[in-house]
Amino acid sequence: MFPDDEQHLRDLLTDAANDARPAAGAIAAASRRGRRLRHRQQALAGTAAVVLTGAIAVGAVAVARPQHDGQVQAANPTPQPGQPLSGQTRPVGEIQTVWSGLRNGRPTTVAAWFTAHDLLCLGEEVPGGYQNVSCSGTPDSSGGPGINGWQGTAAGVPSLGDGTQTWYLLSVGRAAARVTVTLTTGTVVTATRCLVDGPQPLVLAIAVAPPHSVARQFTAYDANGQQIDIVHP
Amino acid sequence: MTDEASFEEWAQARLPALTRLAYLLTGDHHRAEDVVQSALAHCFARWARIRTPDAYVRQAVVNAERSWWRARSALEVPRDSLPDRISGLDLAAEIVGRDAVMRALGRLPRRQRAVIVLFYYEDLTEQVVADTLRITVGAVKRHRSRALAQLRHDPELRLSSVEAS
Repeated sequence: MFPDDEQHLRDLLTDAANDARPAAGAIAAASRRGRRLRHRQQALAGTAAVVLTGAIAVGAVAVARPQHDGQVQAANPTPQPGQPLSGQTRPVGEIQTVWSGLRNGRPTTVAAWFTAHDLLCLGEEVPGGYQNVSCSGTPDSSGGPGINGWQGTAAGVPSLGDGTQTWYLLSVGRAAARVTVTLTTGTVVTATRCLVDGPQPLVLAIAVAPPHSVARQFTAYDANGQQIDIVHP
Repeated sequence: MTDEASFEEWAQARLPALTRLAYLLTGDHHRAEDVVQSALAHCFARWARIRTPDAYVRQAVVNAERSWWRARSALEVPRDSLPDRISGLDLAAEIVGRDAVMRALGRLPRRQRAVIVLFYYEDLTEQVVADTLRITVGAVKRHRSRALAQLRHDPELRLSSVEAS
């Protein structure tokens, strides 16, 4: 019983796994859930993309302008610099929905979450996905999925390649930072902190939103909560 | 064959293996069912665009287990010892052995447990395990080494060994 060698451990696991029995009706239930999920995705359909990129290194700001023209709904008053952030800091790895509501009468969701590699992603599901997400600045070369793979395409981040759900790298780097998204409704949502500790403060920020998105402003804050960048679509 | 029909055919073939994987990851039959259903639902919704369904669903199972754990972590407090599990066959040595393995797995940190299951049970390479868990290969090696060390000194596995012998 004692797993004194790796083959023995394999045998133990295989034996233990045999206790598991598939639930009756599991596939039918999954199909029903999947059908609902698919309908919800279809309701979120968008078209072209507006890509905003920002590169922030050691306090300096380099902002790339939108790479695709897109229409953005009329703006509401923007938050003032130094305005307290809403939301709260969440641990890396936790999924957080930062905004959901109705767009053009249809339910839609803007979600932000962290992957295991401290990547903060912001995305709206769009059939076909965005194929040419790119960014100015220098990608973090520290390695790991999603860090070196984002440039040019969404490749490199697990679950990005299926062509249905598109996850967007919003921020990656070596310093604590926060990003807020200001909706045209005037609501400011905080995408929470992100990024990892390291020798150099470096933030690469990418925000992607489809045309007609209510996302209209992205604000980045440093570790002290000071506003260091605002990008408008 | 329609997309739905091809999905069901594939899911029927994969369901037992997925259930076993989820069971090893979760240690609980009911939660394993939930995890598998959630993973299959995601596969269903994206079926037409999934190029490697086996890898996709494995990732989905891991993600679903992780999501459950996160939701649970806000409500429950981890404890050092696992409660006794209900079993009508506890006296059977084989069942006791299986139970000891599941308990030992349950005492591993989540990430170590996942590495052990994916590497030794699913027989994946370290690179694939790393991709699935979204960690580095180095982290996989580290988790595997620590998990093996803990399993080798797990009191219940050692006790079971003595009892079995």
